[in-house]
Amino acid sequence: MIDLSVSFCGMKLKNPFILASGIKGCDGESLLRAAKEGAGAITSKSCSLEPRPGHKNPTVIEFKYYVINAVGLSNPGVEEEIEHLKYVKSNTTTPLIASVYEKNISRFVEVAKKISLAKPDMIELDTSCPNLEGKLFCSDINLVADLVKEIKKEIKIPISVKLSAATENIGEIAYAAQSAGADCISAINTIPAMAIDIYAKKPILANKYGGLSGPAILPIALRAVNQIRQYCKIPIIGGGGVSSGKDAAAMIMAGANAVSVGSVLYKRKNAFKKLKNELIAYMSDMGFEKISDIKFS
Amino acid sequence: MNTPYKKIKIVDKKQETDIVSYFVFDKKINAKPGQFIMLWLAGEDEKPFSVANANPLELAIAAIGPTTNNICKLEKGAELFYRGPYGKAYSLMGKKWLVVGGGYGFAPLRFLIKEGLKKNRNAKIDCVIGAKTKNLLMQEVKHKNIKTYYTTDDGSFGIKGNVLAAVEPLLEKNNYDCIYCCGPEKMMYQIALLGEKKSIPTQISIERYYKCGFGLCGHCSVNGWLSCKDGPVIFGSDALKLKDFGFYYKDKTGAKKQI
Repeated sequence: MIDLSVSFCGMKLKNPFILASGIKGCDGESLLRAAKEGAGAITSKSCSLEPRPGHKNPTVIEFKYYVINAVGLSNPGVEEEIEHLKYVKSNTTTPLIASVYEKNISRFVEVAKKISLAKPDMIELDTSCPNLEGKLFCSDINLVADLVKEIKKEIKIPISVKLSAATENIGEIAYAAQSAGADCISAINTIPAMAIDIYAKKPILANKYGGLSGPAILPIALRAVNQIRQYCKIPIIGGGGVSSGKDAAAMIMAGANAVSVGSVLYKRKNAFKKLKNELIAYMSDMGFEKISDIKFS
Repeated sequence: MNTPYKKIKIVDKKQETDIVSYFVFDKKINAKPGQFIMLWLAGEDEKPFSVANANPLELAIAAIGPTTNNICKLEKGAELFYRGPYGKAYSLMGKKWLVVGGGYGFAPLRFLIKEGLKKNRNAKIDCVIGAKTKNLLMQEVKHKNIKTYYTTDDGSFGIKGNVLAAVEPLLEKNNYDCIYCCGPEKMMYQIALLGEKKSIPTQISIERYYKCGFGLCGHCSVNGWLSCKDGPVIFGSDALKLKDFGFYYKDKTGAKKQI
């Protein structure tokens, strides 16, 4: 009997597949739908203190092997998001990870404190959205460490820090987060990218630059997760281009405790079910009984 | 780099109502009535429009905001870009239809009527076209099998009142295999209720603010139902199970707002 369940940071997941942040939006009912469809855990879209309209369209563009988006952290603001997440918590036992974003430490602390009221099972700090002006928050290793320290002073709920492979030293940044008290690392965010329509002779995204996701980024994510694993002992939610059970096995082998998925969910019908079945097929082929059996020889 | 967009050129344009410009493009599209495209005014913005005809591609665009105003200023020869089609189409059921269009919501229904008559030459159609006032009424499809009724809120043309003023008596007198409806959400809500009451399958089209258009971003969720992918066309009976339908939409931030 193959057991797909994983446990970390006080969360019990029936399977290692986690709905990634930003997919299916902030809406409580959409998150619940992902839980019903078989997600092991669900992550809400990042919310900020105030509502954000995000960028103008085009914001999300689909290509054969990748998606580029610059949604721009549109969200109804933390007050409304609390209601969505409370609704989710009262309607499912599937662990809920609440993603939050803010531009500086004090605002980050404030939004994390507020979202705690919804009692999510974990709070994910989005320090790596590539669609905003200026440098990535997580590109400053000291800023990340200070952020985690301040958050941990105020919040009892486990904290995950979402990092970007666009920073060269992702392993060191993750280690700094761990040292500051982070309970988990989530990696990777989408990768800074650009799409150009050569016939329109324009950048496609209204924001010009966006984040790359989808199958094309899997090898980049594997490397990043493996780097983090070499530096850190804390759990890792590994994601980036996972589109099949075999991709997930690679992500786990690279060092992830659980696997976040996004772009695959619109590409494949009943994606969670298929991912689980494919992972089971691989494990059965390999004679593995539990997720922790998936590791380098 | 390949692009998800296709380039189209305006070959004809006419003013259909005070606010609706009707565009004919130089290419055809493989789309069914009820499906939509994302039309890109390159460098400015991208908006969804239901397909008003497939061969050639035609769009009825109401100038209701900055981007649609700019699109409506474009003339013959101007180029635009689109991706799609996306979403679920209306499905043809039986051969006696009641078609109800409110305002520019009639555009995809006109396409549906034309396609429906191609597939079923003997179909009998009662068509109700409503608008606030005469100058906002969309044009009918002229055909021996179609009876058209007009309503205007101010009584400037046809029956005075909203579409229900024509629809209710029609439902009293006739049996229909299906009701097809597109227009303001409050109106579609009423039609969906009537369809339920009369046990007539009703298909409506629920529009929301779209970002991706293909079911990824979740912005168009109506209680978990994704307008862009699970819809926009939905049976009235299913729509009535969505508690926000007819009452709330989400703005650009995703915040709930009253309709």
